Amino acid sequence: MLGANHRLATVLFLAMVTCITGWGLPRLNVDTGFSSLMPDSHPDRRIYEQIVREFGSDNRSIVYVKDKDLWSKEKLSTLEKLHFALKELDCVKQVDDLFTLRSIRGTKGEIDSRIILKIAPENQAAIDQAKADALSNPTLVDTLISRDGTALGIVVSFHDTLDKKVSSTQINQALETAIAPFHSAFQEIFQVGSPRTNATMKTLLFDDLKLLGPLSALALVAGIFFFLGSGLAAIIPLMTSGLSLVWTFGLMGWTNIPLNILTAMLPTLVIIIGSAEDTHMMISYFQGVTRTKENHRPFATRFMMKHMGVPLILTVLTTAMGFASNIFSSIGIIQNFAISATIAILANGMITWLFVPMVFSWLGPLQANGFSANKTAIGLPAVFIKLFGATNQRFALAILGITALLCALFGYQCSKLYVTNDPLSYFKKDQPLVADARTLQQNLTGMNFFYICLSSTLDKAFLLPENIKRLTTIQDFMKKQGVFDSSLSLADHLSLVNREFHGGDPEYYQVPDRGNLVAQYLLFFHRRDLKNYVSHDLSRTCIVVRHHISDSSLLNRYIRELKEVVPRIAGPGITAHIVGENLMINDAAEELIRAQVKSLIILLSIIFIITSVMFTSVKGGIIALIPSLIPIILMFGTMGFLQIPLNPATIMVAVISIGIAVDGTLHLFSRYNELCRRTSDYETAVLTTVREEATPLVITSIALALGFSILLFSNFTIIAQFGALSAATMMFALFANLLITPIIMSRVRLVGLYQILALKMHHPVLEKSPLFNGMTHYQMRKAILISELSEFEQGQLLVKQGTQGRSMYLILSGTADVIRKQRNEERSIACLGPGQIFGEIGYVRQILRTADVRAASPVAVLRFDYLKLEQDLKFFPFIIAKLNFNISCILGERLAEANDALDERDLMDDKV
Amino acid sequence: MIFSRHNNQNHTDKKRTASVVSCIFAIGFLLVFTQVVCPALAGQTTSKPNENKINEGLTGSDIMNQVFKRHRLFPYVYEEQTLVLTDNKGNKDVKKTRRFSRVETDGTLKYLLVFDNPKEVRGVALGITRDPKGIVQSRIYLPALGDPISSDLKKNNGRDFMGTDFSIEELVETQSDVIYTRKADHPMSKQEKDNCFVVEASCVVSSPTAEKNHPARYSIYRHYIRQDNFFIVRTDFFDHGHRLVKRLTHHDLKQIDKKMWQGNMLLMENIRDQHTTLIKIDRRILSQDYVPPHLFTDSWLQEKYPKETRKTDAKNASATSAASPTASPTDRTHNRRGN
Repeated sequence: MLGANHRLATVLFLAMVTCITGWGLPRLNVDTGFSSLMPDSHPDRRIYEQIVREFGSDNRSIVYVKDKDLWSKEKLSTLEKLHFALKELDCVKQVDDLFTLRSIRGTKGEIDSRIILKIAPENQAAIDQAKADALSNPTLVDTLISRDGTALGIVVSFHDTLDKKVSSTQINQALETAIAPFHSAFQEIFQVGSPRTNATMKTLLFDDLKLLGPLSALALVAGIFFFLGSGLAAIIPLMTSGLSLVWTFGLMGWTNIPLNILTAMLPTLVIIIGSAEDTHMMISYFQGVTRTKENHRPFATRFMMKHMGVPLILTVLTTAMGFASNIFSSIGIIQNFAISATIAILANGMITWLFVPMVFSWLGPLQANGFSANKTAIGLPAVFIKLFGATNQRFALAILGITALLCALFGYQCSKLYVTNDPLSYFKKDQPLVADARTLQQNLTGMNFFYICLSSTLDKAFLLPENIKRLTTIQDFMKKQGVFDSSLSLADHLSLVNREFHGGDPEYYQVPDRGNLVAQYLLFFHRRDLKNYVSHDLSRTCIVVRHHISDSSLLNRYIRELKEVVPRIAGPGITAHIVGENLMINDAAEELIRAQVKSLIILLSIIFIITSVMFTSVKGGIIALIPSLIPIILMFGTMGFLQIPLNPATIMVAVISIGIAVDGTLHLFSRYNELCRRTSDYETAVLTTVREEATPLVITSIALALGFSILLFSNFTIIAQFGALSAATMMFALFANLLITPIIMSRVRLVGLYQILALKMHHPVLEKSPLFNGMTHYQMRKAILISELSEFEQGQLLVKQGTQGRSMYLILSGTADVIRKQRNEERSIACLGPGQIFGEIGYVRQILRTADVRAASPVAVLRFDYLKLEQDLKFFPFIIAKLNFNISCILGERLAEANDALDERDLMDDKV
Repeated sequence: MIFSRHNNQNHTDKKRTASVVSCIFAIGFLLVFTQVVCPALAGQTTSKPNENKINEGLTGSDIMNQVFKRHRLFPYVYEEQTLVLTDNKGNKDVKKTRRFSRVETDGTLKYLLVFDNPKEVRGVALGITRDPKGIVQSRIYLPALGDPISSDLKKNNGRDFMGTDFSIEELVETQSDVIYTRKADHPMSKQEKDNCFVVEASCVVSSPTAEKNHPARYSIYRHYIRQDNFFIVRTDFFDHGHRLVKRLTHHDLKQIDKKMWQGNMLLMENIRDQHTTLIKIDRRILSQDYVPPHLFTDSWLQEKYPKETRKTDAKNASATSAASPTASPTDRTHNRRGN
């Protein structure tokens, strides 16, 4: 009630925090680079950095040119202009194409080494010569020139982009500007590479932000207005979300957490998840409104906070924990998302907790549209209740059976899950970038690189033919694997020179047998030609592999195979490393799964611990997990069935959705237990719980599902998949909560921690009762909450003589007569008042009741069932021991009284 | 009071006049010192304006003619060279070579470069012959392979020579179809304020078809030529996009005879690749005895460096990291007779 009681202070506090955090907004930066996709602690990272330093970066773009008349004077002249246009760019360090690469051609007794095209040839003979030169060079075919010669690749390397002086967007812009005038000159021309991928990602990211945030807000406002019929109720979640986003993005700015593909989802997530809490609170407010005829606002606000205050804190904590479970991920992008999402959820919780009561106590609606006074749902929630209520009443076992079957079926589908972390898979298939990458791969080779590096401690180790031949053996093995597009090494270059020095005889396309010949051939290479393949001292060498595999598990499988085979081929004294940014990103995919499984286990453990503490029962913890586990199984099964891969976004669905969905379960269980305190009819308690809680549950679940569905409009496939799966999981969770949870609830009864804490113990009768003698308030509360409260009218029978029962009663108010029937005579043997107990013999020992107990006046009693007490307080031996001790004391007293009575009777008989 | 004030005024005026005169004198002295005394001390003569006038009248071709006339290749040159190749990371690769060149009486130029070190490339040789008509032929000899192989220099035009940043035509002048254009004079360097001639050499495209198929690698060569001795101290190479690709500078200049100069150190900087090649002339002998005609034949190479077998290869491989150059008895003789 802080927000309602201290409005001005609340406004000032919110304004101050918003100003401080908002100050950080200009510091917020955007990161669409790939380095955050791989773990900092990756064991290969340092080796990769060393290799990149030595053999050059794999950060290159490829300009693809295709034309059926490419080898004509005009086209080659245009190609030359393109070559120089690219070279002119400030960001470009090197352009490798037909105008820079060499051809070595040998005929009998003559060797020629020349640049394939120095300038655009003037006549057809020179054109034909250049084409023949290019196509005869195995190191160029399929990598820079297609087999039919109609497609060319121009490899553009950039100045060190690590210093970030020139952004990917600028490089991409420069490249696009350079090739723009040539679009009409060739049938096909485009450029692909990390600058374009990054720039496209950045553009789409901002498009997403512009589209998804407002769309989510619109859907939210429309949804809430539809269900709650209040304009204010529809605007409040927007205000809380807006403030939460300023806090979150501001703090991200202060803490240098960048805006990336995942953190860009935050506006949508905050609007969706934040609105769920707001909706719960607002529904509670409207329920409060229906319960009073005057002083609506303060009463309804108090009612809202009384009923929703503690659940709000708990649900915010569980949701935040859902996100926070990824904080320890070694993958930067996930870790950043986890931190920022946790901040967002906590901020939203705090803002909601302060802001909503403040606004409602001041401007809250005075009419509760869509709510009946008896708290029953109407409209769509009512349809759900009717549907699910009827079903789980009639077919409880069938539902459990079908659910188990479904879980088994979807569990089997989980085995079809695969993982991918390929940045290109983030984009939709109709994205021009994806189509261009596919064209490049079909006509030349894939745009993904990795290196196989061999290093020796011996100087000039790779001058020895036997060592160079190991490269050929590795490359031959890769050819057998049949999944990689191309590989190029020192061995290929030497084989080519060897062939050409032997008149172009194909038989000589092999590494020379003699070390001196190798050394002498190497004189024909400039350092520039070999710098990507061998170190200057010839002690380290590198095979550059290109591929287009996007399935991380497939790639990882083949890489594992290579990692087993390559060291064996390399032999002793030579160390082998297989590294690449692309490999580390893909390798991180498996790390991603491990981390998510860990996060899921942590989250479920936390839910288990919280619910166990909440219900003060381990069984409670386990039962609360069931409605959480069912949506997880169904969600992963759906992914397997629809072949949706596990990726950095979809991998988080389980953890996040469950973090959200468990709120509904907690609300249901706590309400159910509250109701169970008032009735011994569990079936009715379940129905009442569902009826009362269904409205917020259905509204929030549908609103969340709709909100998540908005992510389907994202420009990124992985975000759309995340949205669709999260929406589906929310519906699975609704199904579990409305269909499965009631069936479970009707079979168990748990005591909520906050019910214990909320129970007022001012009743002097209870405190003075011999049953609770020597017990602490907590122990008394715990024991009382296991009992049932029953009320009887005057003359009603509480216990019937001759029947069997294991319950013991404690009179709270009123009086009851103990009447013993003997030979058709009724004899009142005692009149019991508040604080006294009866039925204790049946409680201790299973025997027939020895007397009737009838209400002498309206009576309220607490009923303690032996079996329930034993079961529910199994893990509370001190309470059981105290209760048993007190019962034995009471029994002892009764025995003493009976003995006294008997003695008195004997005395009377003696007198008679 | 008035009188005394007048006197004071006079006194002040005199002082002011004296200081103005002193200033003018000082400025005059400085002008004379800088214009006359300093150049004299620096070895310049007052006749420089006349020389400047002559230089101003020279065209690009005139200057280059002077260059060729004064520093034409000496007919018989033997050099022992060290090639230091440095890549963009600072890694150095050192090779030892010997260069033989001989200009025959009919004008035929014979050029031979033989590698001595590292051991594995010992005997690798590049032979170039340019006949009086300017037709160039080259031969490559790899002892590990055996027979020398011809190489068409026109086709190979622009090829980096044996992993260095020099192309063959930069070592042996082969380009004849060139137009020289004089550009504005340029200071030699930041330290040396003397100007040098700047002459741009651009390639003529109107050559035969065969050459058109293999056009020049560079569009322009810009030479920086010392005005005092017409020695090219720097050449910048520009590609067809008019971007600076390479820069050749000559250092440690030595006067060979009255007008002829030569550099003992040539540094080629490959701007694009950030790679440099330094050719250091360890020893130069200008003597016919050192470059007898038989040295430029295939048979001499094959005899001197016979075809290697697996056996010799293995022997060499066992000591791949050895760095000291090996020299034949003939080489030792050469060493004893150094300049």
